[in-house]
Amino acid sequence: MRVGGTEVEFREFFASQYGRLYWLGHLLTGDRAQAEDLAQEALVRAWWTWARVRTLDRPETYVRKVLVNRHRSLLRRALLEARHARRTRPEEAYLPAGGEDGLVLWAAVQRLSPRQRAVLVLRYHEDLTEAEVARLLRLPLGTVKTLARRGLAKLRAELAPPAQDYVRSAQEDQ
Amino acid sequence: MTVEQRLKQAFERPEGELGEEDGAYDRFLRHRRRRARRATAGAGVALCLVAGLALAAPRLLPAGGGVASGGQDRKGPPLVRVGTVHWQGARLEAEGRRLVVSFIGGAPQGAKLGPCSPLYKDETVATDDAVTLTVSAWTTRPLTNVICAGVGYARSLTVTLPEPLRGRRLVDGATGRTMPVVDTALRQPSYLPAGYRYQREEVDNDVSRRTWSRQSGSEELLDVTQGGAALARLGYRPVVLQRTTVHGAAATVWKSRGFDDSICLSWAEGATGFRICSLGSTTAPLPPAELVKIGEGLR
Repeated sequence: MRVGGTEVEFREFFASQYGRLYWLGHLLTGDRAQAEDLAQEALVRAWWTWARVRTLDRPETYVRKVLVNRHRSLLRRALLEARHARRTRPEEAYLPAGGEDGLVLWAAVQRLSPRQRAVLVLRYHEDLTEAEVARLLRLPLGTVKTLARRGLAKLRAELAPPAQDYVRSAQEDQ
Repeated sequence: MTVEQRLKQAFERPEGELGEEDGAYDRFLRHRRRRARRATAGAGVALCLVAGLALAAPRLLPAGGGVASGGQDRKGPPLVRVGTVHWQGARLEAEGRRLVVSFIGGAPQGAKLGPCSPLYKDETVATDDAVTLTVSAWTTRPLTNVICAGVGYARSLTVTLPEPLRGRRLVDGATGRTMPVVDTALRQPSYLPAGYRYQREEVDNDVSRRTWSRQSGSEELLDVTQGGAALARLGYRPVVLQRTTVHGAAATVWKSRGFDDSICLSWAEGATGFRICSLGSTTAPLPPAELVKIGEGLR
C-alpha cells in the first residue's frame, strides 16, 4: 500500500494540471473526447513514474511532453487510417473567445495541417521557442520554422478581408 | 493586432473551460486501474490504490428538477438542491455527538456562493441501527449551460447529531455505503504563528489532516496531520534539514527533493504519528524552529 501522502500529493498535481492539459489537447485535436483521452493518458503515465516525476524541477513540462508525444503517435495512426478510409473526422463545433473574429480565426486554424497546427499551438499557446518546439516534436528546426511561417501566412490570408472590413466599419462609426 | 497576437488570444484557455463537469479524477482512477491491469502482466508494475479517494465534484448542470428550499436563514434568491456529494471520511467528536465529515467540493472552503461554488448542507436520518448522513450541494438556480471547473477542493462540515452515534453504522447517503468512523481525540495546537486561521479537515481512514492558512500576499498553508505511526516516516527522497525532539520523542524536519517548497516536521509518540507541514506558494515556508514550537504546543 502506498502511503496516503503520495496519493494526496498526486491528486493535487492532477488538479493543477488537468485543466491545462485538457485545453492543450483540445487545441491540438479540436475534439473534446480526444482531448480528455490525451490528458488522462498523460497523467496516468506521470503516475506510473511519479516517484521520479515528482523530483523533477518542472513536473508539468514532463506531462506536457508525454501529451505531445502521444498526440504525435495518434496522429500518425489517424492519418494512416484516414488515408485508407479516405476521410478525416470532422472537428467539433467550439465557440472561441473573441466573438466573430475568434470564430474566423478558429475556422482558419482548423484548415491548417496537423503539423502546422501543432507548431502554432506550442509556439503561441505554450510560449515555446522554435528550438523547443523542434525538440518536442522531434522535427528539424528548419522544418518547424517553415511550418510556422506557412501556417501564419495561411491564417493571415484567411483573416485579411474581414479584418479590413472591421477597420473600415469602425472608421465609419466615428 | 498582428495575427500572432490574435492567435495567442484565441488559444487562451477560457475561464471555467476545463473540459468536464465533474469526476475527472474518478475517471482518472478508473483509467489507471484499467491500464494497471494491462501493464502488470508485462512490466510487473505494482499499483496499490488508496480506497476512498474518489473525487466527486457536484453535478451542477442543468439545474432542472431541483427542489426549491426555504432559504429563510439567508437573504437573496432561494437555494436549489443541485445534487449530493459522496464524502470521504468522518471523525467523531464531543462524545459521539459531533461528526467532522470531509469531502471534495467544487470550490475552496469559505468561497462565496455561486453557480460553481455551492453551499454544502448535511442531512441526517437516524434509525435504530444506522445513521445516514447525506452531504448535499445547494446553489442559487444556475444559468443554463454553466460549465464548472473539474478541480476539486478539500472541504469539511461539522455535523451535530441529534443523539450520539453509539455503535450504530454510519452510512453515506450519496452512495448507500457504510463508512468507517474514526473516534480519536485530536490534539489541539496551543501555539500558531500570527495570522493563521482554521480552514478545514480531511479525514481519510484513520488519518486526519487539518489545515490553517494565512494571507500574506499569497496563501500560506499549515497542515497538521495526525494518524498512525507511519506518519513519522519521511516522504520520498527526503532532504533532512534538522533532527530534533518533540514531547521527548525523536523528530525530523525535512523537505522533499524538488517538488515544492514545503517543509515538514514528523514524529511518533507510541502508535500515533504526527506531521506538521508548512507551504507558502510564493513565500518561503515557516522556519524549522516554528514547526517545532507548533509541535511542542500540540496538546
